[in-house]
Amino acid sequence: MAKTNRVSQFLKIGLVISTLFSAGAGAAKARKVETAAVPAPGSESGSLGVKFDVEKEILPNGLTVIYHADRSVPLVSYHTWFKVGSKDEKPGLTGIAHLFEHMMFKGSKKYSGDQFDTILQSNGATNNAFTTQDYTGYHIDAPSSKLELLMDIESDRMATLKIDKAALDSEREVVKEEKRFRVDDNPMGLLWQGIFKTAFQKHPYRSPVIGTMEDLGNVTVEIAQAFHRTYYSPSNAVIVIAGDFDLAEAKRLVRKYYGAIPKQEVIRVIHEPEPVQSAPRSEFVKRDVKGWTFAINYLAPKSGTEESFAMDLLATIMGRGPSSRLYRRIVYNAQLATSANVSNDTMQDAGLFQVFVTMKPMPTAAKSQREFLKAQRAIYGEMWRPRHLAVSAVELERARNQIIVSQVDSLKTLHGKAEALAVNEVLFGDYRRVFTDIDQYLKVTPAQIQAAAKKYLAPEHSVLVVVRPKGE
Amino acid sequence: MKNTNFNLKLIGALIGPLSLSIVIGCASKTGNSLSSGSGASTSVNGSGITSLRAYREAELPNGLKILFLPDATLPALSMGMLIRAGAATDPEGQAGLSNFVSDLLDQGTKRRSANQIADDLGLIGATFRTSVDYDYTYLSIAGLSVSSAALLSNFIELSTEPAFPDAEINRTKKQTLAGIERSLDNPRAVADLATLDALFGHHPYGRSIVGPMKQVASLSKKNVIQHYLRYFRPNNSILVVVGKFDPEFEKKVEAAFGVWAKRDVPKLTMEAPKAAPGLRVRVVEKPGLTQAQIRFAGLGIKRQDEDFMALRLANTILGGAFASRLNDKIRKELGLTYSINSSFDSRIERGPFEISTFTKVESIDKVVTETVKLYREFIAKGVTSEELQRAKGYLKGIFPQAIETVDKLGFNLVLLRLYGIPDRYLTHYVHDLDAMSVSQVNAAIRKNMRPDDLSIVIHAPKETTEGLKAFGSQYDIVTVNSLQ
Repeated sequence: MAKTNRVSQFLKIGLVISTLFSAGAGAAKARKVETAAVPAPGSESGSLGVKFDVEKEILPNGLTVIYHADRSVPLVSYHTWFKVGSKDEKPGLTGIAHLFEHMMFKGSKKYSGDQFDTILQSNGATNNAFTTQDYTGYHIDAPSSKLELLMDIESDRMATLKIDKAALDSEREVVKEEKRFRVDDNPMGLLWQGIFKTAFQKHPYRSPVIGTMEDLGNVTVEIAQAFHRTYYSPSNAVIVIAGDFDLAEAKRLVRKYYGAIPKQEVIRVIHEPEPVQSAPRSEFVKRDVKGWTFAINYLAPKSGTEESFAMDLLATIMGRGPSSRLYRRIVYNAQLATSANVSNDTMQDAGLFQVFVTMKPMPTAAKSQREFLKAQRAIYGEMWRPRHLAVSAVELERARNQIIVSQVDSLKTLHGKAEALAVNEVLFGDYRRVFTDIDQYLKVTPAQIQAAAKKYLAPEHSVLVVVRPKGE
Repeated sequence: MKNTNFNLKLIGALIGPLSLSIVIGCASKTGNSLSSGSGASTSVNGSGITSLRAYREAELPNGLKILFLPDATLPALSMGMLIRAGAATDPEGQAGLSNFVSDLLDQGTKRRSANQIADDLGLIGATFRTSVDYDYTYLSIAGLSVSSAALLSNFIELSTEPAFPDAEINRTKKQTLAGIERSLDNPRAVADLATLDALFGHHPYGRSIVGPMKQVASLSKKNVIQHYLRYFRPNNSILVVVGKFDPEFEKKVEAAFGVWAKRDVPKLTMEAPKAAPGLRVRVVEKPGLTQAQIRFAGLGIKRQDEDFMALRLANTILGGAFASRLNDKIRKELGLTYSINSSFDSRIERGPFEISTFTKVESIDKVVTETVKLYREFIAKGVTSEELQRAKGYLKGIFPQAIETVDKLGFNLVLLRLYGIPDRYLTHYVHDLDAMSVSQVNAAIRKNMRPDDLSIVIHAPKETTEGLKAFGSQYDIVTVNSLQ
């Protein structure tokens, strides 16, 4: 969605995996939308009020802290996000942002070794982390009585992380297993990797977040330490605390634990935008699989732009759920595919408008090929329509309502609220976008959708990636 | 990500549509996700939850039980209905029938076609979902509370007036068959499926929920209608209404579902599954894989087993959480995997106990040997009081997470009713955990976990598993296609 709809590339793959098996269940359905609804759609305005209190402060060392106090459940969701992701990696070191994320669990000055997980767990906390192209997030959900412990432990690893060789070597192997699991032996992971590699020729989004086996081997203790120094400065972090706490007390604790961590200079490379593509591209991957899976992609507007809201709505109209155009055409009517989903994936520097299709298995290679061509033709035909004809009012209303419902849904938990605040603050320096996104969607007109479609979805901009059976 | 999510159930739900979102809140899966009261009225003190959020429970004259859980904090409304029939109810030779019927509910009713239904639901942003497990089928609808009337009328129509048109039966069948075949491209799904068969054999719990292709292909309209008329009855169902609604709406729900006709429903009976003796290795071969999916499975317990709580603690220590013996050894110390975890799936009858992991093919022998050794030691020596303290702290601490939303509470209250467990389980959860002693936990481990009876399933190129030929009393190789 307009705000980076999914938190992590790894999560994305996970979600796509989970939907691979359910006929017609959409990747779009699994999308995370991270916004708060304020008004209601159409005439119902006002009855949909979703609002919550938020306060933000920036400490002298540059640390941004966002507080959302909600005392209804004795829980706290504690997020620490850093503005660093795989797009900040240097050539030869792909995968370091994510490998480094793993190292954040291997001990710091006060909490050494593997104490991190043991202590948090025995205090009733669950925690995890993720790395994307643009940012890296750490989160803990815990009983609210443990808030001070969370600060102690999180500030300790922000300031005094220790990286030793044995731990790095062992974790490198763990990450290699993660790569085999998510990508190498996983058709959807391979597809995903192929999409980014082919759609981006210049921008570092082309590198896989998980890295390459070779590059993972290049990360030394010194390089990892330098990475920590460069990007884990308080001035490069956003903390979100959501849940049951006293605001004044939380602020006091933030100062106590984070106030003395020195600010470091963060060197950030600004990447040139990916050049506009002038001819279609394609990439075919052969594996021992039972049928074809493919994606047709188009470079799309980056996160948070007006056009990206229009593209979100169009993606919903095109391929979210059984009332969408592509589902009707190639899953329901032509019965060529077991699923067809469209998503508009928006990142900080660019977006990707993606059509994912899982084809039915066919008895012969020739038949597979024919059915694929039929599906492909149908999709290109469907991509022509929004460029030349405005979407109908009913379709637009349906798309808006589907998006609003997912947004309300994503805010049901403290964790969801904290995540929504964090992603908006990290990407735009303004968590308040959480509260205005719905307005943005409501403002989009059919003409704007058509204009965006015209600009981005032309055939010469398409990137086809196919994972197909080996023997064919 | 640092680790795979321990709250997610990875096993069993091979093709069950949308089981993901529902199972997160399910009580009996990985050992850390039961649920309790929600919202502001939940009271908590030092010993945990003392009262659940207020809800109203009604029973209509036709036997339908309804739970109303109001929560006005978000403009959302959802309804869920549990039907006491699932994959284990499917007749011999018709495995996949429950799943097939549930997939057909929104594919045409007496009044609307599949496409009309999809368009109407889409317009209000609502989603209708179904999920089939071994012991039950769960239907749900969710949307905005401003659409409450439409949500109700849609839910009633889809759950009580499906028309099962021939064209949709044919279309859905083809989709399902293609989906089964495509699912076998995923190594994790293959290993999970093979494990069911290796552990349970011909017992209903050994079936895939979606069914094997041959049996699904043979399902007829008559089978579908028979199943529907037999089990989709008010007196065989529990309805839960959750979110923003008023007492007026409750009356409408009761009136609308009140006209649903009751009928005697055959009680679900199945024989107890038998543990296959010995340590048996089954290889599902596939050339070219760089990583092996590995499962270790034995018989677990019934949901009603008195050792449920003791084993929840035991499992947390063994592999039910990130800091656990299995993960400490296989991932942290040896760096041999990204994920290893253990779980009990407790059902009406004894469900599986399972350890699940993966490793590069070069490390298969090492992972299997180390895991079995650790498992045996765990049973022989039991847990320590320090470990037990930590596990209690963890399970108590994550308890409120599960009470956060009324949706989770609603689903769990319904499950408790299915398994005949009183709400006391939730209100005394923390108290009961605290009361558990080391000797109780260790006695439960010795009684229920068998060190020498394990089905080991490995999905990998066959030549990479040859080192395990003599590891157990049996070693056989099957193909991926044999699982279809």
